[in-house]
Amino acid sequence: MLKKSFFTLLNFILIISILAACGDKDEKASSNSGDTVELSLWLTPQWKGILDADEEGADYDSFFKHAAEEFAKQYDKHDVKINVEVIAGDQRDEMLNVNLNGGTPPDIFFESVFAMGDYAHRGALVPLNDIVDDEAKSDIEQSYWDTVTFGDDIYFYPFSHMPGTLVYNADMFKDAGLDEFVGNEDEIKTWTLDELETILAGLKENIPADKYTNAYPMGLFALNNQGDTWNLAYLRMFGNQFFDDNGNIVLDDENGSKAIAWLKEVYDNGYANPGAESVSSNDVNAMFQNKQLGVSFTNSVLYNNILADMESGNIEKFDARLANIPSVSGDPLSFTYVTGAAVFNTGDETRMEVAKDFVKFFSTDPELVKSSKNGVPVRKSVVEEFKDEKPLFAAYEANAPYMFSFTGNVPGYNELRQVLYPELQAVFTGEKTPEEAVKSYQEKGNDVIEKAKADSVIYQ
Amino acid sequence: MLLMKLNKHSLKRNLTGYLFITPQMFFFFLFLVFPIYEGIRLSLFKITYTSEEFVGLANYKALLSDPVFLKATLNTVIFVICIVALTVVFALFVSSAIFDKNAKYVSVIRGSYYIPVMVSMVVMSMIWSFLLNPSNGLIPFVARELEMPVVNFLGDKTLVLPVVIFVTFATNVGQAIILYIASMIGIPKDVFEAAEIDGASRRTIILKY
Repeated sequence: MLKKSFFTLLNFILIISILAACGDKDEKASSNSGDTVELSLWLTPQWKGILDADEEGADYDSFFKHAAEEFAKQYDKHDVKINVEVIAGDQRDEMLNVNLNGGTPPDIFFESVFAMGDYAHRGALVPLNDIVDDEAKSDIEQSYWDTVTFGDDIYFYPFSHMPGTLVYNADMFKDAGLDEFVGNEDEIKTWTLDELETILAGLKENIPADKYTNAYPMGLFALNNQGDTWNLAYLRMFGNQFFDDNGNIVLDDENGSKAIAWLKEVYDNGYANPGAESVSSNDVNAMFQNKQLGVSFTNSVLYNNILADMESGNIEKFDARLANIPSVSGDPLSFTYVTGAAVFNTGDETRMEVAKDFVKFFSTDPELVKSSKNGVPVRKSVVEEFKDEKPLFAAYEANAPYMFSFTGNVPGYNELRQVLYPELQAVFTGEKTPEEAVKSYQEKGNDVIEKAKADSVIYQ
Repeated sequence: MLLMKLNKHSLKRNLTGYLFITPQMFFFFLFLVFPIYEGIRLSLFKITYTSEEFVGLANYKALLSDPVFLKATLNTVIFVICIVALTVVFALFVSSAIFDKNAKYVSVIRGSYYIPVMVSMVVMSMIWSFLLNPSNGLIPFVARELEMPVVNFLGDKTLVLPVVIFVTFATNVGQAIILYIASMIGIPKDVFEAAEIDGASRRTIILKY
């Protein structure tokens, strides 16, 4: 009896261990076997199709599947198989953290750089300096390279970008008698700060109430960290540099508090939507689309979506045009979200080498880089090629010299974002003065950076 | 020696039982006990992609010295107490007011309180934020049009917690009403009849029976 039970138990343990072993086997199959190198490429949804969204079967992974085929055809070092996987943007960090801890990170990740910078600081990415040549450096403006450089090394290969600007309702401007401030359709209008103030005051006085119900001159928001890049840009309006050379926040000076005081004044004068402290950037964008705002924030993708929605009749048509964020110096304040590929440190030299070669391939191949026209191309050559089809490309290109790196490429940027909006809320609700807010933001922000620096491989 | 013998004996007798619970125990340890143990162990470490360093209780110290965490905990406690009290009181009130009425009438009331429970929390939050949004929400808009004083329900420090409590309460109270009505209807009729014959008023019936 005992013997029988013993064997039953033994059998059971055996079955369980076989099951467990199967799990292990599956995991190992994804690495390279023999001569074929198998890579995984993850991306968040960027654009559909290889070159255009109206291709047959166009999807978010079309471009990379096509690039992988082309790469495999011409690559002679190994046989290559690349698995492309589209990850939802809000699952990105969860997926990456689980896979990093489990030792199975993807080989390549294609995403907006600002969202991925922390991985470079954590030592999860490998530098790409060796695949960047002089030809690429001259075709892509230095300011884009700055946004992908952490410490001394380049961690992302810039592919396309998504510039952030202001957008204004030109019809509303004209209805309020502000014709002189309306720029051309293909222009990103640069106002001075005084001009913007005149515009806001003019809109407040003269928006015809019968045509625009519940309308306000400008959209402000501070509910959460969404759209905080525009708030960061406003903080630089009076000339504050925001970060010093060591990557610390230096907002707590006269210019910093002047900028916050300006926002507060706009808010208090009724130039902005009420309740900015509990309004999100999404709400503001929706209000602009409903013709409830004269001036709002936008980026190249949001702007295209607004135009497309007007075209398809989803929203009422009106004349939406672009403007730069003004500054007291008269120069525009310009920033962009650079998108590009990063290579993860998988510990497998062969795979990392092939991954880098593939990144170089699709980021430099003259045919493939044309797909960057789905965003705004970082390459002058591509801008040149499509400038007739997309006249705004040239306008975006002209902003490149005024570009600032809004993340400063500091470690802990994601956590830093959690510190700004509560301070702005405190200012809007009157709980803190602008001076108190900049002081408290600088203290808390530098605390976050200090802690993150201690863990950053780049600062060690 | 005797104990060992006894243990051996009982083990032998109960082996089949142990075998029956082995699969359950295996998964219980694998998916519950082990993750809990790992969670506690990891909370004592500072982990980066490249290193794992034992820091003792430093993570807990950092958490407890974070003013936002303390405030959030306090708010959660207030939130829970208010929600429970409001739900119990209001649901008891509604149910005791209608439980002995016409069945159709009870259904209508029950249904209208229960609809928000069935709608997903996400949809309810969207509806409420549309109503309360200070810039383009319906309630502030109407208030402005009627030239009434406008308050920011979601931005005013003293108002926001009560508003969140009310919204959650309004969404969930239907569940409690359903349960109370069901249990009240379940009370045998003769108990009420007896109470009426004894001359008990409606209030006494509800409070004492």
